[in-house]
Amino acid sequence: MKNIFIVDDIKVNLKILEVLLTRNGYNTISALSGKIALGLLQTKSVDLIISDILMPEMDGFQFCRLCKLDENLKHIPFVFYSSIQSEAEARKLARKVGAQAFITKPADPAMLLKTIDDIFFEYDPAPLARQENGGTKPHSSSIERPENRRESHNADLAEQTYNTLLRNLPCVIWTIDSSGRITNINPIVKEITGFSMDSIRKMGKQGWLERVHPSDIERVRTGYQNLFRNDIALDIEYAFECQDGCFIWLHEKSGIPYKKNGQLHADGISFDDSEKKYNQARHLKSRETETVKTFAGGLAHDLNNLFTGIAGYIELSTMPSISPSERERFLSNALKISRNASDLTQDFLAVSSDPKPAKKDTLFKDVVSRVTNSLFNGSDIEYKLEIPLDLWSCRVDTQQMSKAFKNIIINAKEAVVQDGFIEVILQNVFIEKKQICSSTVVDPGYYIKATIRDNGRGIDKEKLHQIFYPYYSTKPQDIKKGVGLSLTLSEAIITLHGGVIAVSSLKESGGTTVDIYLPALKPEENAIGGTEQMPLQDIVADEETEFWKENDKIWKTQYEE
Amino acid sequence: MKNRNERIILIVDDTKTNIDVLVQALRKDYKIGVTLNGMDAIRFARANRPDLILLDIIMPGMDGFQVCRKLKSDPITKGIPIIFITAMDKPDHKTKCLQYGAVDYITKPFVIPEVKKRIKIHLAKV
Repeated sequence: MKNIFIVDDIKVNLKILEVLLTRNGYNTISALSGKIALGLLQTKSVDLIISDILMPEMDGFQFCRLCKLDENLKHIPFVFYSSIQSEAEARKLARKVGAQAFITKPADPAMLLKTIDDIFFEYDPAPLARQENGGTKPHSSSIERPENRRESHNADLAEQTYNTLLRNLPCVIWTIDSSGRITNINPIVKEITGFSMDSIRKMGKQGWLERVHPSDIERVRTGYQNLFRNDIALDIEYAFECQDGCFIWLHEKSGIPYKKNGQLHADGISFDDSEKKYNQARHLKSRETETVKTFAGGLAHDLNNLFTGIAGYIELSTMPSISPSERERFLSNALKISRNASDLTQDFLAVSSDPKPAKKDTLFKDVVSRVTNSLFNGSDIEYKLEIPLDLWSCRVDTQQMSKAFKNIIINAKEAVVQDGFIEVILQNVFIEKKQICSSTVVDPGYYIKATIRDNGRGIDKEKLHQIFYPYYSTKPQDIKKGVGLSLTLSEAIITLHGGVIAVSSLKESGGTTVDIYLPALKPEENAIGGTEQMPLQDIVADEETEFWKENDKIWKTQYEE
Repeated sequence: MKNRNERIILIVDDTKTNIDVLVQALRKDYKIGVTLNGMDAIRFARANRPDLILLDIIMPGMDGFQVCRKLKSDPITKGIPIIFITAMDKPDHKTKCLQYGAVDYITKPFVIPEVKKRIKIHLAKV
């Protein structure tokens, strides 16, 4: 119990304070002057001093100053309780001499007690702890002790804050027990779902689940089972049918269950995530539309060029003024272009149909070596090809992988400008744990990693995921060239071989890196046998190049002639 | 005025078969120049001042519109009539072609007699 020392030269004033304070759980010690008080203070343990100001011999200010100069007393909080006229000046002086508070007489008892409480709280914010270590009960059970009042005050404040939060937070806060009974829920549930708190309590978890969209019900059920059976906190999104029959997207999260009254309970929140979902859907839709538009535009471009060639040559062959050899050449060209059209449809089929097992007739390193060297032969782009001697074995379909690798290299060549440099590096890689490489998941295992790195213009981060889309080009919209299925096809072929392809790019510093991971035999199984070497021409044969060579001499020199 | 077979037509297209078809269709009547990209087309036009340019739009690097703008802003080449060869057959695309200063546009796949006719009409205006 706290001891309060009261100093006043008027006995009635002392009596009033003594009654007020003792009834509120404090001990009091009184003195009629500052001088007497100073003497008594040396022998008593005091927690607070309340003093009048206007007193004979020694006024309150002097008394306070002397207390604050005394090593034994200076820590005791000091309160002036006075009816002095020049209050403002007195307050100023009170602060100057070191008093903690100034209360004007006569004060409202509640206000006086509150000031005392506040001072005690400020000087010792844990009164309860001390009380438990030897304090006594208040004099009257009907009167709250200051510590209790402080605690109760804090509890009230916390409850008020909590209630305000419950009312104002735009989410449903709930508690559910393991039997599916909803024990707590805040009123906002009505605003979000249309159901009142009572209806929700009545419907319980079972009734709630009945309003979950059928396509989400299993996920939600599993989520709740995991919550109470496996202590896995909820974090699920699902469509919920509101009272008006409309569906909203609820995102639900919970804490780990805890035991209360012998039963497991869990607290959680549910919030309406519909707007975010709709935005995501809109974004996805617009991306799909953009992909379809790019694809349709690219396909139309390719088909138009093919039709232009086929129709053009056939039309030329019907002209009366041409020689038989010219007619033969025109028709032959029309046929070649028709075959190109057929190749295009094959590419589409390779991308769209179910993958067939690839023939594994050659080593990947041989394909890489032959394709790289042939594509850079005669090119002014500098390149580096690194194939370690102890590279693990990985067999691939010669034709398919040549096509896939060729497309990637050509893409890199097109990306570089002046002082272009491309490096192709093969290495053995063992992945111990599932890894994410540039948004692509690589499962554990033995791989040959092929890195194709250029120092070209780079690709915007947000466009990286699109580069495998058919006909997608990183070039500006106006100069979008139908780039066909090259990278789409490369990705499909690599997937067909059980591999993955990941692309990363640094737009700021330039350069794009393509990483291909192809499953390799374990090092101990790496018995490199003879490989079927495909003739170089077969691997890098380019219909257009051959066509060009054939027709080159005929028309390229027209102007010079 | 040049004779018909002295007139130079520049064909700009990155698809070689398209070029070949046009070359075969026009070679008997005109001298033909060919480039596979926009930059070469500008160089050719400045050096040889062709009488007409058949210009593809979708090409890697510099596209047909950019080539057209360059040619039209150059005093040496601005008078050369340009016919766009476009795969896009939408009204706004055609309007865009004409806004860039082209005299005409031909949509792919084209019909050879129509190409010949249009070239003839525009050359007659020069």
